[in-house]
Amino acid sequence: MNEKYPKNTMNKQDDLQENIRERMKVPEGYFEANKVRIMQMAAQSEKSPLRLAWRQPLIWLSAAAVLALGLFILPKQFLDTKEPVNLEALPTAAIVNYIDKEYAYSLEENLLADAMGTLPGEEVLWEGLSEDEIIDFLTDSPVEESILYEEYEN
Amino acid sequence: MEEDQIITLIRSDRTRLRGYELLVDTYQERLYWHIRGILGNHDDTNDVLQNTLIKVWKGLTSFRGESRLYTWLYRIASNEAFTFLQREKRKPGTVTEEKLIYQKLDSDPYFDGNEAMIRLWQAIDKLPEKQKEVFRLKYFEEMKYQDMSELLSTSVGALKASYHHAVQKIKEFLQED
Repeated sequence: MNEKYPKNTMNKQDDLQENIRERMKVPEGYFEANKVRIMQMAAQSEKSPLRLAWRQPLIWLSAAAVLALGLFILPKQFLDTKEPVNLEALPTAAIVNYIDKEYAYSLEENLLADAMGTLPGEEVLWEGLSEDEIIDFLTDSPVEESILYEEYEN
Repeated sequence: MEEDQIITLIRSDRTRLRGYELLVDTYQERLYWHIRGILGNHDDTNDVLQNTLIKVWKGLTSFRGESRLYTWLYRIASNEAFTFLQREKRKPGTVTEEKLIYQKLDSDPYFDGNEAMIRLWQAIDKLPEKQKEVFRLKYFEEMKYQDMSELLSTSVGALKASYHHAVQKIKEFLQED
């Protein structure tokens, strides 16, 4: 038997109500002070540059634009450079690769190999061919002439 | 209605801070008693209330108004309080839950109850979760059954029964010794 807590004190719900809630105190002015503290924190985070930045749609748009530029536009620009190309200075394999990739759909591989005096996959020696011979070969192929000249001149 | 006014204010960037201020004014005391009903002592309640209100501020933009505002606040506060309790229990060297409650209440300068009061607190803490929740809402927050019904999605009849059982169990617990 708990002497400090007589049985008959718990007979009514009202007793329960009185017993604990009444004994719990809150420091004087606690809620007012807490409100001030909380509001200061909220106001600070409201003014924080980072928070403001995230909330500006322009920031998001700019970030997206930079990302798109970085991922798609710049690499393509570097690849599509219009700097004049000196064919003689290019390695033969690079030229063959280029033609192969760009015009494979219209060139007959064997014809190309014949013209180069090699079989596909073998290293081609361009030194043995004059520029005219190369152009003659290419103009005989189904590739549109203007494109070939444009590519060659570039 | 105050709740509608708060929701309208917090939905706009321009007035969100004002809406939040109104929210703190309206609900911080209720939230305090809800948390204190779980934790018992003032200092812990103060910490958890602050964390709760900060979380509420950070999450204001995600409040869609699908539930009542207080329901949303109540859930955040409950989560914070129970997470806090779990952390306390896991601390190395922590005594049993009963003793922890006893120590916390006994050392709380804002609790002037005697040992018997602490024993009552322990009795509440021993209740099954649902009864405990109902008892706390009625006892500490003095919430009406109708509001409780909305908050807990339970019928008023079931809530009354839960409260009745809770009171009976508390009496039995206290009469055991």
